[in-house]
Amino acid sequence: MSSERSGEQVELQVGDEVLKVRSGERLIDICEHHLTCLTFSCRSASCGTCAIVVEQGMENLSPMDGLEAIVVEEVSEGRPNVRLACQVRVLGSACVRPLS
Amino acid sequence: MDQVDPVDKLLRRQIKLFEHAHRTPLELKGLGLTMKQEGIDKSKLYCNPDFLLLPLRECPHLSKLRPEQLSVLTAYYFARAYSEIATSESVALRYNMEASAAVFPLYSDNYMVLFHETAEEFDHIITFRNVCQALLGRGDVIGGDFFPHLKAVPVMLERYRGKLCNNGFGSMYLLMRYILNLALKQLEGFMTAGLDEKVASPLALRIVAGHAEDEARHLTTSLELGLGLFRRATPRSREIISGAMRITMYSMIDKRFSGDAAATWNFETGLGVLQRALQHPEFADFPLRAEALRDLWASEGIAIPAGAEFERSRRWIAGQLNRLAESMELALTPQGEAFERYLAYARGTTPFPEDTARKA
Repeated sequence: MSSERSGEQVELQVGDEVLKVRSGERLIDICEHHLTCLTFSCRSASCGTCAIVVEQGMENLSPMDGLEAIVVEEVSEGRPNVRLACQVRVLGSACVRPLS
Repeated sequence: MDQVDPVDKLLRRQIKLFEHAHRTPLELKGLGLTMKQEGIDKSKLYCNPDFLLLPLRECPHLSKLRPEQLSVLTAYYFARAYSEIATSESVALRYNMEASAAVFPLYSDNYMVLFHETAEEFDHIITFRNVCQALLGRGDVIGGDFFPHLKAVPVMLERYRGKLCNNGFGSMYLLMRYILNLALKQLEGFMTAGLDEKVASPLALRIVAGHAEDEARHLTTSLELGLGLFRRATPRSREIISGAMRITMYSMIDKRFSGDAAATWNFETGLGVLQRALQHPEFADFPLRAEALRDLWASEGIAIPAGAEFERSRRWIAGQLNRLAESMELALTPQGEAFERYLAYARGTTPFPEDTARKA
C-alpha cells in the first residue's frame, strides 16, 4: 500500500545518486531535471528505454497500469520488480537503478 | 540468454500495444473538428510562448503584446507545428506499406504493425488539416512545398531504392522516419511543457496528448525495427544507410545545436510564425513588420532567449541522436561549436542552473 504524501520531500536513490525530491513527481521528470543516469525516449510506456529495477520501496510508487504491464512483460525477461520510469510517480522513499 | 530475435521481440510488443490501443481507441479527428468549429479562442494559449525563441520580454514591442495577440501567436505556432508533422506523416503514408511489404509476408501480424500505424497517420493528417483550417483559416498548408526539408526524404529513398536489399530499404526508410519522429517530438513533447493549464487551450492539450500516445509507438517501431532490419541488411546496404544517416544527422545537429539561439532552425520557425501572425487583424496596430523587428534586435543587441523548455528539448534530442549513432556504430566526427554543444548535451555535461539548485 502506498503512503502518498503529495508535495512532501522524500529520498530517492537512482543508481549511486541520492536525491531529495517532492512526492507525486514522475520519476522520469525527476531524472531529467537532475541529469541522472537514466535514458528515456517515448515517455509514453511504449519503448521500454526507461525500464528500472526497484530495489526498495515498491510500495511507495504509483501502481502499474495495463500499458506499462505489456511493455514490462516484454523488457523484464522475467526479472522481478521492473517498472517504467515514465509511468512511475514517486510517492515515498525508494531506491531504483536502470535495468540495463 | 535471450534466444528471441530482437525484431520478432519488438514486433510482438508492438502488436500487443496496438491491440491495447485499439480496444480503447482515441480518434483525434473529433478534436480537430471541434477546434475547426471554435476557431482561435483568444483567451487561451496554444503552446508555451517561451518555446517560440522570440524575445517576448526583451523586445520593447513584443513585451507589450496583449493576451489576445499572444494567443494568436501561439495558435499559429501550434498550427505550424502540426502542419509540419502532417507533412512528415504524408511521407509515412507513402512508404510504410512499401517497406512492410518488402520485409514481411502480406497481412501477416508483423506486416499489420505498419498497417495500423498508417491508419493512425490518416487520422492524424485529417485532424491536423482541421487544426490548420481552424487556426490559420486554410488546410492546404500541409505538404513538401511548405517544408522543403521533408521533400529530401523521398528523394533520398528513391535515389537508393535499387541499390539496397529489401531489409536495407526497410531499414533506411524507418531510420529516416525515426529522424523525422525526433524532429516532431522535439516540438510536440516540449512546446506545451511548463504551460499553466488554466491558460492553456484544453483542446490543444488533448490533441498533443492524444497524438503523443500514438507517436510513442511509432517512434519505437521506427528505431527498433529500423535497427533490426539494419542488422539483417547486406554489408553494402549497411554502408549506404550509414552514409545517408551521417549526412542527415550532421545537418540536424548543425541546425539545432548552436549556442546562438538566433542561428537555430527553431528560431527561424518562431520568426516565420511571428511574420505570419503579424498579418492577423489582431495585430493591425502593431508598429513593425518581422524583418524590421529582427533588425531592431540586432542593432539593440537584444539576444534571442533559449528558454528552459527549449534547452530540455535539445538535451532530449541530443540523447536520442547519440543513442542512434551508438546503435548503428556511426562515428560522427564533424568540428564546430554546434557539434561540440550537441556532444555536451548528449553526455549530460551541460547542467542548467535550476537543475544544479535542485540537487540534494
